[in-house]
Amino acid sequence: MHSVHEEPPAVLTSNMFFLYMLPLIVLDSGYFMPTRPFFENFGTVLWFAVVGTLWNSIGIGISLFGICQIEAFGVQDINLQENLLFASIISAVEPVAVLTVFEDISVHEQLHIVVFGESLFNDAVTVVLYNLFNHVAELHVVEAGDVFLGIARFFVVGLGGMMFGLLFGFVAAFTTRFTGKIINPFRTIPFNFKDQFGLAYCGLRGAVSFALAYTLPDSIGPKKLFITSTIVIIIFTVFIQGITIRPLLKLMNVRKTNRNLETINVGIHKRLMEHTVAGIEDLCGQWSHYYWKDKFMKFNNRFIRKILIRDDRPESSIVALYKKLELQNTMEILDSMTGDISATPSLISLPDERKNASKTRKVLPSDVRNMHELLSKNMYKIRQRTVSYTNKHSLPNDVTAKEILIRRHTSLRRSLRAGSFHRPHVSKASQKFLSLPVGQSLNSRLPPGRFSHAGDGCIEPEIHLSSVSSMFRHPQRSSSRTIPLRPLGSPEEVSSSVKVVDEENEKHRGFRSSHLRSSFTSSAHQPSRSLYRSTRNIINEDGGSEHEEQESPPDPHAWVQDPQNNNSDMQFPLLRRSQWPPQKPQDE
Amino acid sequence: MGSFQSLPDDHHYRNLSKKTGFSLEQIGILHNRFKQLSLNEEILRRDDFNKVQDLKDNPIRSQIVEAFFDRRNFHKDGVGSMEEIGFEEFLTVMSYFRAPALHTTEEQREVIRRAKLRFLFNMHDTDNDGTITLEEYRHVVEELLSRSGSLGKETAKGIADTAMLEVASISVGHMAPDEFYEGITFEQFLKILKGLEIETRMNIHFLNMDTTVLCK
Repeated sequence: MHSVHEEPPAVLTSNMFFLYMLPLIVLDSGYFMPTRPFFENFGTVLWFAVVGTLWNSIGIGISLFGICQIEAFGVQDINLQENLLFASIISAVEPVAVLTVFEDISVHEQLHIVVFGESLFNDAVTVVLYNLFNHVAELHVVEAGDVFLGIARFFVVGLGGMMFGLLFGFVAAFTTRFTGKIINPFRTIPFNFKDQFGLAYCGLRGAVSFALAYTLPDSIGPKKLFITSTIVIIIFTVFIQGITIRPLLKLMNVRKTNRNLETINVGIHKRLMEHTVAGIEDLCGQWSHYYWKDKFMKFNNRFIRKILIRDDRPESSIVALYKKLELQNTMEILDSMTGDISATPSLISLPDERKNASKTRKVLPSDVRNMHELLSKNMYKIRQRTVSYTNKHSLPNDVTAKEILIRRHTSLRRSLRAGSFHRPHVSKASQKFLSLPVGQSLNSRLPPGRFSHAGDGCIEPEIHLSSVSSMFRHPQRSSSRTIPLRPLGSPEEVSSSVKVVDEENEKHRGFRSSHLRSSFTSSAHQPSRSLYRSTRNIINEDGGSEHEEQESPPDPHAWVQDPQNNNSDMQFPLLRRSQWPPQKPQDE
Repeated sequence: MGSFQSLPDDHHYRNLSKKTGFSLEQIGILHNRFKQLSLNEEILRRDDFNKVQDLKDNPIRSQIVEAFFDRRNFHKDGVGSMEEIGFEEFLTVMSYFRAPALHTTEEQREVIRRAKLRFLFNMHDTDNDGTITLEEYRHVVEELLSRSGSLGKETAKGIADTAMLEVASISVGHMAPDEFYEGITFEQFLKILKGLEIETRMNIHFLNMDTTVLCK
């Protein structure tokens, strides 16, 4: 072949590849690595990567050698070393194409992770082997000592490489502390045969092989042959295997990820179970991977995170999950929000049982029905965006949060046009858009047109609260009771609640508090707090009545023990987030 | 009790082995651990558990310890809790965490799954009335989140509420106006945790090697 006589493309020298390209590839893979499933399958991954690749190379090498001996092929001059070298080149399985297909068809997470991990690690193994065999192949006589040296070299290169990798990984993480936000890693089971077949069939070869082949030193006799065959193999695997992977896997019904049903309960109990198992392990002194995971997390939290991550505010992954679901809920609700407010009678507020018991009972059935409808609608229609939240290909951004607010705006305007409804016994509540009934969220104050319904008719998830409370036999929450707006825990909450309050103000006073909008982008604690304070002043001006209400004594039988402290902003902080910075979830 | 090689122990161990499914070596090792914790006495009390260093950082430490003294975990109709336990109870609780053998049938796996979930359910249901009420659930969530610091009680409440709501909507469906949702029953608990593959994850790899010397 003509082209093979040419020099390798000028850019692709061996040095170039190893020093520049490969580390970047590895960094890219490592950065987006989903840690938890990865570490849970760590053993498998390592096994595949190291031992598997080794086995692969050696097996291929030897069998190729065997084949070469067959005279019919006329390639007897290729010796063992060269064969092994070739084998090491082509056993470098290439992850990118495979993973793309996998993700596309939602393959089971375990499979995904193992392929990912395997290819990640076997680059290293391949390279080392390549070097090894290269070196060996150049010697004309292989002695026993050389073999041992070779093995030693394997380890040296491997370990040394790992050290370097660690070092550079640190550097990378450190720099990103200042340049960007760190993505949350997202948030186990033997492989059946189908999985294995999938794994086997997905051994696409690609870039690494090509580069390695090209950089073979010229001393290797059958270099051209190698290059050609490498190219052929690459083409074959990528195109043919690649194209057929998808239908094949579909055909075989390889297990798919169960993407929809990550409910809160499951999340909570997963965590509960892990802690339980870790605890029992500690108790009986038998450590398995939970123990190490726990230890690592502790170490991680104490030292590493402080140094390497900028925004070190621990957040439980349960809470993260919860917030994600809330976010979805809101989106869906805002989607489906119509001007029809009559369907939402006083769902939210539970007047005192003594006073309005009958009225409460009257509306409950429809409440519950609505609530169930809402729940079922929202729970099982989990949007793709949540799942791919921390996907490599879709970084989180503020779009979601902004979308929510945009929609809220429109709904606000819509409801304004729809007019307001009045209910006699809660006429006072219509003024109370700045204060919260017990257990209510600030959010449910919107849109103002619905205030008359004991303060809120928003079809929002907070609705659940009151029905929940009624369901759980903790009555006696007064809608007339209000809660002082207390400082919120996180700047996002503050800024968003400030934003929310701001909207109300705007509506009633025509305030142009655009400066509050800037709280979107601020993530610093201080400015938000001062914004809050300034808004509070505005509130104070608005309704003195509300603040008087705040001093009313808490109902002793209220569902929440201390209404003074129960700002349900805390309960549903998500909905008040003006931005959605991806905070690093942390296991407790 | 001498080393587990002696005959009377052997017989005792065989019974235990049959009952809990552990192998004889594993029982021996666990017995060593038991003796370590109980300072060579025959019984364990709650404070003995508090000696374990690593457990201190565990957010649900008290529930875990309590589980060892909970009669419900010893046999099906047990009620209430004990003050001190012997090795048999210790082992029985441990056996909840055994992994199912590779070749178990579907029904067996289901049984195992129920047992493990029952264990978790008992951890929630502290007052033993057969349902997890909102209070109990909230308590657990609070404990779980206690390590993440600033979020505090309100978030925990919100999360617990939503969770209860999820269960309610899945299990109960439509509710009459006068009905109150009492709490999560065990059947509902099973249903809601269908997505969690407990029988494969809630396992401890019990070694045949004595690691008790390494424990604190």
